[in-house]
Amino acid sequence: MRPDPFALPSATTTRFILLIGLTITTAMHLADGMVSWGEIQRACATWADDIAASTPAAQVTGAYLDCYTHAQFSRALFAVLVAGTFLAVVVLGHAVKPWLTVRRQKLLPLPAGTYPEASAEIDHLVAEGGGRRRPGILIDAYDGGVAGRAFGRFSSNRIRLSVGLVREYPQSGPRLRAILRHELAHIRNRDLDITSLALVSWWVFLAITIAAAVILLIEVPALILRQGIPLVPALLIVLVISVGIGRSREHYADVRAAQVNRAAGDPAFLVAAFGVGQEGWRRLLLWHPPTRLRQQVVEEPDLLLRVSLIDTLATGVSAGLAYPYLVGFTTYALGGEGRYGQLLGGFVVGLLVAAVVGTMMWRATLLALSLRGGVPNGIRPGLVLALGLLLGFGATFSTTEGSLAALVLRDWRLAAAAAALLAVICVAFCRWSAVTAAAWLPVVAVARRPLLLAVPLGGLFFGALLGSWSAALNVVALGSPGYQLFFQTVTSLFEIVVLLPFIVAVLFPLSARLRATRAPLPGSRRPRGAVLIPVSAVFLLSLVADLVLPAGLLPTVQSFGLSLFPDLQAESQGRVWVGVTLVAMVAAIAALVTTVMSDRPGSAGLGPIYGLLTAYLSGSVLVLVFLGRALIRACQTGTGICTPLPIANVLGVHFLTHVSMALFGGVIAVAIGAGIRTSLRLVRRYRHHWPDDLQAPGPLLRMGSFASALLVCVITAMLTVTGGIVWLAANNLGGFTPNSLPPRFPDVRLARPAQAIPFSEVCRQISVWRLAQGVGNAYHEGLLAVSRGVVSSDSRALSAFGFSLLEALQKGDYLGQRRSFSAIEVYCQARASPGVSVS
Amino acid sequence: MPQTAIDLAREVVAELAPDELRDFDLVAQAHLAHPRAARRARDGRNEPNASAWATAAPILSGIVVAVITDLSKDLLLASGRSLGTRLKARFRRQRGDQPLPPYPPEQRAALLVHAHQSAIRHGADEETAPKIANAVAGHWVAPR
Repeated sequence: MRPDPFALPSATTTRFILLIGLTITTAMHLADGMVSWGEIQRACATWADDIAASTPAAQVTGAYLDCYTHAQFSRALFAVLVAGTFLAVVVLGHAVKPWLTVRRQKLLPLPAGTYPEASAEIDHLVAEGGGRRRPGILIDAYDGGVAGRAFGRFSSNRIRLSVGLVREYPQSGPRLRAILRHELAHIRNRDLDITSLALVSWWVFLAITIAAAVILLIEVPALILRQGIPLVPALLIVLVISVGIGRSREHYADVRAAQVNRAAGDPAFLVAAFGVGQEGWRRLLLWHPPTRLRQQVVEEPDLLLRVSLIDTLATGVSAGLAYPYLVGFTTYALGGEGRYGQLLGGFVVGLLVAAVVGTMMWRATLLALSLRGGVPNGIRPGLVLALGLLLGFGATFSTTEGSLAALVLRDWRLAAAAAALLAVICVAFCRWSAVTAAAWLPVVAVARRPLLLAVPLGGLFFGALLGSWSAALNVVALGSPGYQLFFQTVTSLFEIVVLLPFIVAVLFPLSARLRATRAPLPGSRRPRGAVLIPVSAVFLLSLVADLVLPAGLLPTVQSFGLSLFPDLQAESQGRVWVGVTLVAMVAAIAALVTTVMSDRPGSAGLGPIYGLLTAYLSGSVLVLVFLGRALIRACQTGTGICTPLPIANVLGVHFLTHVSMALFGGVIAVAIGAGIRTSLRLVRRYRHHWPDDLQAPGPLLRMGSFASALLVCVITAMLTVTGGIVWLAANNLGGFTPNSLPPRFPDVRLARPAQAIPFSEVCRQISVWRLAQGVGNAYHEGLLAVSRGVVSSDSRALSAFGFSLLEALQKGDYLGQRRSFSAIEVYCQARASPGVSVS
Repeated sequence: MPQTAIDLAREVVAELAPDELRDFDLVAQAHLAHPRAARRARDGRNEPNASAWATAAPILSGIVVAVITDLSKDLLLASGRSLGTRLKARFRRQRGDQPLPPYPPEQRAALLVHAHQSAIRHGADEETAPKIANAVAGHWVAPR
């Protein structure tokens, strides 16, 4: 069965998104560099120093952070204005281009009286092409050959035909039909706006880049290398993408026109009408592919659905180039909140990657399903995507911050580990996209519909992981121990904004199982018991243990763990750590079993997803077992906890803590399980032909009503629990945002010493401390040391922040601690320029 | 002898390519009014949504009009006494309805050479250029 190349968005649509994303981001970055934002931030710091002498410490902290936030919002607004101006110029250029074309080329309306037969044929072909608005037909009186072109804007379309094409009719009839149907196909495919916008974007981007380079050379020549060199790959990529869009649209127009040609009894692709085209390196810069390639695509339209590694590489490089600037923008837009700025920047880049690479994996999966092949494994595109990202990050040329380049300089082995981790994330994303497509394509009549949800979903979870990876890279590049790279990336699952997209992404392919088959594509069989058996075993074993052990399962395990690691006894959260570690280990084992058990012909790559689902459910049932008897006892004794809100509070805290750790264990186990499966698969492939993932043709096996009901119950329970957690977090309930912590250091009193320490030295010590913050008690003692050091600085503002931090520690005010520490960090960054004196 | 440039061009086209007479007025007027557009078309167009990358194929009517325009300018330049007259002759756009000056018979040989070169410059091939030159000379040069 031949797949319909028009069933899913074409590569050009996604390339266009990539083009616009890269050009806008770069334009924003270039404009941002023209403004002295550092001066504005230093002005806030100077003002804070001025008011610190006569204002209470807490108010100084609040006022300074407000000033900083305001400056950041202004910076974000400026970037939005730049982006808006860029888009407006592009749209304006696109709007006037058709008028300019007609004027420059001196095109004339087709005189029907002079060419009556040709006019009649043209009218017939235009009517055959359909469409709501008839395109205007113009002739080029200077071209005696056979040529045509479609152009226009916003549904006002025109077709230019060479005078040679119409004057030689009817001898030129076959060529006239071939060319006009090709141009009408462009209109029907809605190419005109995309290609014109791409072309105008390129010219505007080129103009901006040249202007920026000239200004840099004049104003700050020392920065020309650092700021200018990343522009070179950006320019090349934009040019390649722009032209690639045009070439790809030619193929789609040829395929569309071929359908009409065949229906009318004409040759599908008339080579005589289109010439030979250009070969060699010049063709890379032309809007038209070689004619022999166009003919090949008409004969094999499947070529349009295959994975394009060049597209993937370009996407990766573009995303890597754009990411630091996007993170900067999102950080400003969030008022300077670094961590969430990184996450949001990651989301935006993730959406870009999902729109291009994710859609490409859907197309490749559609092709695979139609040809009864296996679900694409995503390894090659994933590795190429990772390579592109690394090249893009590297081309930003930053070595002074926590960047990839800085990490390479520090320890190349750590850099290699970071690259490997990124490769795992990228391959996992590509594989998820393919598996999701394989799940949904057989059960929908319109293939684009589930894709509209898959792209933002995939973008969110890929972007979240990318943001966490980047944050971990930042920390390790600045000197943290190497294990932080993996630890920080995976434990970002603790954040609700990362956990939620992750869970929904896990559920999305599974929810396709609820639908009956619509499309004549082979589907997958569900692995019987692969999920339920391990989860049931966990539930039963933990329940029996909890009933049998005198103190209950969790207290017994916690006591055992503390006896093994006595240092944990000094930690206030030591027992919690033991509990979550137990959950993580159990969930990991269950997930590993599921992942390996799911490796059956017909599972269509859902094994890792089932593994993660098992981890999630295992963590959930363990929490229920841990809390079950205690809650029942509390209700029986009537202590007042037996009402919905307190129960939700208790459940919510434990679910978020333990289920997150269960997923953490699940991720590790799934990675190991996938590695085992892949190794076995390679061994088998070496020895035998490995059977396809998807076997005999025919409709999907219908799920029994019991299985469907069970699946609905499971999905509903997961969504209810997760939704409950979100509600609790949003309402600051259940200790998710701990407004109150135990008060600490009540007897400590600080005062400014007579001999103050330069603020630059204090800031340096803080940056060292950040790399080894510790956890639990060690963390809070570190904060106390920070407040001591900061109070001793020669900056009145910093000193005020230090007093404010101590006050928050002594009150157990978690938010106050965060704000005070944030003010200290921001002040140190703002004062980082040399030669600045404190008032 | 033809009165205007358009008349002369029509006579030449009628001799060399009578099938182009059908749309002669359209093509000739276009080339006469916008010679630069004709040159740009021959440079090749790399445009999105076109049928292919290609250079425009020259049209005989357009070449003839261009050759006659070049020769007219040369005549005016040669006859212009003042600098102003010569500059006007070089940059003024040729109108199709302007009366053509007669071409002196003794300059027939020079006309053939210039017409040939002009035809090549405006896209004629080596086979067509001499035919155009001879036809222009035949219809323009006054008999002795």
